[in-house]
Amino acid sequence: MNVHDTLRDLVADEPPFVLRPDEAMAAGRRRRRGRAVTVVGTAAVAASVAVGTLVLAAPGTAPATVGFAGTPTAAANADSGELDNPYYAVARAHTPDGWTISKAKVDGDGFWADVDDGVHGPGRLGMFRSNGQLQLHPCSDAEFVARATSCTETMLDADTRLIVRTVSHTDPINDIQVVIVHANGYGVNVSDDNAVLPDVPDGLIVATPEQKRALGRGTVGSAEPLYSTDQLVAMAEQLDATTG
Amino acid sequence: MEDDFRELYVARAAALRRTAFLLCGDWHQAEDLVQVSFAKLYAAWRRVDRPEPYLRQVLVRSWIDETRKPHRRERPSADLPDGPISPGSSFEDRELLKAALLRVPPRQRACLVLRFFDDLSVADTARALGINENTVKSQTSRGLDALREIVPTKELL
Repeated sequence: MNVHDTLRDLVADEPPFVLRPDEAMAAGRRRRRGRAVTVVGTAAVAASVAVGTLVLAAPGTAPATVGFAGTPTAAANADSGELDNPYYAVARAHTPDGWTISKAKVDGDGFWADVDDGVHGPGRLGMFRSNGQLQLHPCSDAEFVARATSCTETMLDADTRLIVRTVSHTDPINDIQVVIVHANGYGVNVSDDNAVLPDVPDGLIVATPEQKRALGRGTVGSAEPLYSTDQLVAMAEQLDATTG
Repeated sequence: MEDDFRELYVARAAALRRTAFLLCGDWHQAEDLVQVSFAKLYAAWRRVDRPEPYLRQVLVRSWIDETRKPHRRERPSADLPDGPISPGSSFEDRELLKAALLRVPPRQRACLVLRFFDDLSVADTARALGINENTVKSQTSRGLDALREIVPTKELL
């Protein structure tokens, strides 16, 4: 058996496929309309950024900082987290007072929330715990560091490594990743995207085609992730200490 | 335009879903990737000269982007055997082979699937992945090496 036959064999038990060209076309039309809206939105963000400052760290220098100036807009959503949730408490502790954390959701060992600084539109904060499955050297993973300006690994102690991967520009969605991993693969992962995703209904196992399409669509808010690497590192350290 | 698009969809969607399945290992996710790829094609229809290569390119890149997201990042499977396995035609063997393929890093896996399942040339694979031809060759070679670690050489390759 050669590779070609082996791969053919792997799809031999293919389930039935219901062709849905009309749905693909409808999604394509929405995508076209969305792109037109996005172009307008991006121009507005660019104008705002033009009067601000953007300083990205080179490898081995101080962490990235992003500063903006502009006319603040009212945050769209009220802060909806719960203080007795350890993930939310960590997020709130390292988020500026004027920022809104909304749609906080704990899912298994992870936490997602939309965060809005009231100026640039919402982004998405994620925090996860892993029980022994984190990579010890993610900076060596080409997929992890793709399109990022830098990825640094720092030993916090003999057993604990801090990984900071600065913004990965997989435009239009850009993200920062901070990981604390122990020698046994346990640890935490904190990430910040510049986009938000639609809600996933509780208990959703089988999604309708419309739900599937909606769940896959992200809406870009700010041009860059809102949090600095310093803020995300502080969250990761507290999360690791609190929930470890 | 819509008739042309519909005709292409009917002709290619099922085959594209097989490619997507070999990349992601899940039929539902494969179906989603196909729908997203066709939606992107429809949105860009007037700008696209060659729809099929464009579709494949969008599919593979969408999947690679998915693997980068923290909630989708792939984890090593705990269910793989320690030693080599013998491929066959039974369901169990297929599952083991699938697990072996999913263990190959994403870009290497994409090279294997495009080269050996879709029968693309090195140049077409490079275009689909947005990398140069030498990288396709090296990634394919590494992917084959990774598979050989799990599946006996003489039986698989």
